Amino acid sequence: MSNVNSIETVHTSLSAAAAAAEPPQGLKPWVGRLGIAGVGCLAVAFALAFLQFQNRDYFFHAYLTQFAWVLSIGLGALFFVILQHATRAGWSVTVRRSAEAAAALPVLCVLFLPVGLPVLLGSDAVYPWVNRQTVLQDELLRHKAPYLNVPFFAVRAVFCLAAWWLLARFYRRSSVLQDATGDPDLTRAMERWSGPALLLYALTVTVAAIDWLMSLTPHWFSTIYGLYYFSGAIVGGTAFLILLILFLRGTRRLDPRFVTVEHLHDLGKLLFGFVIFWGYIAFSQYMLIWYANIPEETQYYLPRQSGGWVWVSIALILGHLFIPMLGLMSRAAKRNVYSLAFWSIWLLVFHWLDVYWMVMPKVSPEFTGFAWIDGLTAAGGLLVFSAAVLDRAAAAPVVPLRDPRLSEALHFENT
Amino acid sequence: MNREAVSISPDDGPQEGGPWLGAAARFAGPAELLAAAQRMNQAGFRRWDCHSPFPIHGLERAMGVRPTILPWLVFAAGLTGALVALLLQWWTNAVAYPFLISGKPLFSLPANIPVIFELTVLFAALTAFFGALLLNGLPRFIQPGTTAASFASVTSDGFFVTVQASDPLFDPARTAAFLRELGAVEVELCPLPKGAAEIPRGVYWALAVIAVSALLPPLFIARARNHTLEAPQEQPRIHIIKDMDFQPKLKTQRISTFFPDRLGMRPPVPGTLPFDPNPAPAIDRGRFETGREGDQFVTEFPIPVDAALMQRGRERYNVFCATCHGLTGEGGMYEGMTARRARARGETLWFPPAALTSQSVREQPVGKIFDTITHGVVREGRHSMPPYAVQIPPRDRWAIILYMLALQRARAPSPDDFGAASRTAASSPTSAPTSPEETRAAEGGTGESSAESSAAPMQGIQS
Repeated sequence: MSNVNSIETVHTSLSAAAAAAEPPQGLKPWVGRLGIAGVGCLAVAFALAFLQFQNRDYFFHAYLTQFAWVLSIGLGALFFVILQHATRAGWSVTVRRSAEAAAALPVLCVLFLPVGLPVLLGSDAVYPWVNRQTVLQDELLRHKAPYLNVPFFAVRAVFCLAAWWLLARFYRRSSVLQDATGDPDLTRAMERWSGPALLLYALTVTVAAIDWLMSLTPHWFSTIYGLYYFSGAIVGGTAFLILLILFLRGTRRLDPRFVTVEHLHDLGKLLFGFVIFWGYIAFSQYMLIWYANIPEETQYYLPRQSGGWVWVSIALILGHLFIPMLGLMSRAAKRNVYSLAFWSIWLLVFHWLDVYWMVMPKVSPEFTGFAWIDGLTAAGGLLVFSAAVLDRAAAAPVVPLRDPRLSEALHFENT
Repeated sequence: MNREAVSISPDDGPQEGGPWLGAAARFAGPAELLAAAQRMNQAGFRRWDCHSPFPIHGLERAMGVRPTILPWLVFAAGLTGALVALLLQWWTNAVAYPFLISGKPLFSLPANIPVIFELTVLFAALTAFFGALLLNGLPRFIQPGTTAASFASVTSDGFFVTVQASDPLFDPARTAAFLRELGAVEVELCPLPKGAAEIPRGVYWALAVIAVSALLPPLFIARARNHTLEAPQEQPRIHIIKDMDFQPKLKTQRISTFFPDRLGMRPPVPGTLPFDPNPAPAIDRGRFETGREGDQFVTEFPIPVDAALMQRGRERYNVFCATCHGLTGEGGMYEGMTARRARARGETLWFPPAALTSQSVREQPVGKIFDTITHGVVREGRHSMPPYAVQIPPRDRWAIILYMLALQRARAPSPDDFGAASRTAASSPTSAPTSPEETRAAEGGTGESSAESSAAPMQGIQS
């Protein structure tokens, strides 16, 4: 299209392209620093828990909280990448490489070990169904044993983690390979596989949410649970992606002519939409259970709306839905870098609170406040994950420069 | 489309003709249109527009289009929708027609949220749609400037600026010259089509008649459906949507033609497990579930008794027992809701519920009361009290019995119940007033066969 603005844009972007052809500089030292700080936080939390021995169970639940939180961020970013290929999106080409970096699934496989290994070793500190004695005495658990048993749990965990690893690897490898060859067939292959990839993604995320979170209280079930976890994951993943892009853009590693305010506006729109999607799914789960009022279902919400947990629940309704919804509603809020950063941080925090609210009532039925272990594990997990993301970001150019739809992204405007 | 547009050349003088609708200027391409739009905006034109075969980024900035007020209207409409939905449900459910559904509060937010959500979306969407039309001055019969002969090319390769004659700066000759100066390839002035200004009066009349007659069917339907005790109708009520008025569904107290046992209320499927989030400590299951020890009724509670059990019993009693036996346990013809209803309807073949506080019931072992709740009471071949084994699990039955004991004690207190207060007043020993019905109940008849003791509460109040 011959457009007076676009002619100008092409010239400026050509000079930007030269700078963007190289991987971003100066990130590598931060990988080590963040990684060490993160592992340090986790180690201190672990030591605190074992010095006060009664807190051992609490530590493993807090660890599971941070793992499910950080995992959801990586899964949200992976979903973003697959979604762009499934919809053949042009606008998002210049932000896609950042999402490919944020889908740091390999490190999440390592972070899973403290969740999975105790199960393999037969500890029922987190999952009561691991204990054979408990299962034998419980008629309901006996019936669920064909699914909820250690070997099958391990098989499913390996399957889910392997599936995500392969998906993240395929989409990143193909994209980086295209930087060298410029082969449009790579784009075609990524698009062709995006449909099956979304199916695999939906299946594995549902299985993981059921296995790792819902089976904490194995008597309880909710058929929308996997979707609930996913709806939080895309909020967390998009918020993290926005922060990563704002960081790369703010430090001039990602040229603002590649990611303009128009791209930020679209990312903000996605964040806004996913916030409402989360509220829709969360209420769908609550509404049916509230209406039927059957004890085998209400046992999930009863502890969460009694004692101190009721305040956490109210904080979630306001802080995870209504306040960010009103905050992100206006066009100006999504086009302003600072307000977009503020709401992304806000939603990352409240998404953590959401996962906390899913996991912790089991181990602390009376919520009396946050523990040091909560903050340390969350900070540790996020730091380790961020280190891995920066490591991936430092390994390839920040923009897929030879993507066939790059021009569309450069000329993208919200009108 | 009107094809009487006047094409003018640069050397044309002041234009004859009119009155004018407006002017249309064709430009060579999007870049030229953008530049022209910028100049039009700077020149101070107010009523003008750009037209192109495809969207041009930055055009609205070049035209100086200010942000619209529409988002605020939509936001306000959304809030209005939410409020309207909330008030509608509050008024219909809790005020105008209070109807208890599965024990839910009459006004409860979770049940109202789906409707609040829908009406928020509906109000916001309709406001966005009609607001956009109104703010754009649509619909209109004619868009000034678009009647130009060359305007048809706007769907293929034409890029146009149109100016309306109502613009304060519009002057046929000067505007045409200005447009040409902006680089227009072609400028046309569009005259007002002759005889096109007036809509025949008959059209308005026809529309009014159609609108009024469209109201008639709903009015007739409303009249045919409005049957009240105050305004009875001769014809039976009509049903517009039969599937909605007569739905095939199972009701708890109705006969079902679908199941062989003809029960609307379905028993739990085989293999159903009782769910108890607070499993009782190790107890004697036999005594706990039957109230019997061998063939004897137990006289003591098989589970630990505490204040929480008492509270649970009070709550369950008020749900399941108070409808017949009354909140005080006095039963009879005056206490419970069913008794009052039966009296109001003049029911005769009906056994008034027993007074749970009577002497005969007070003397029963707790196991016997448990047995009564479990199996009900049969008199003259009918259940005068239905079995409650399905509705009330064993633990709740024991809780209810505990609360019953408290009701009995309240009916026949002893001075020892009042601790220090009663000891200081010990000089005047007052035993519990024995009401006549207790004497009578003790003479013959059991607690259940208390038809004759039905008037007891009244006497008790009098005494």
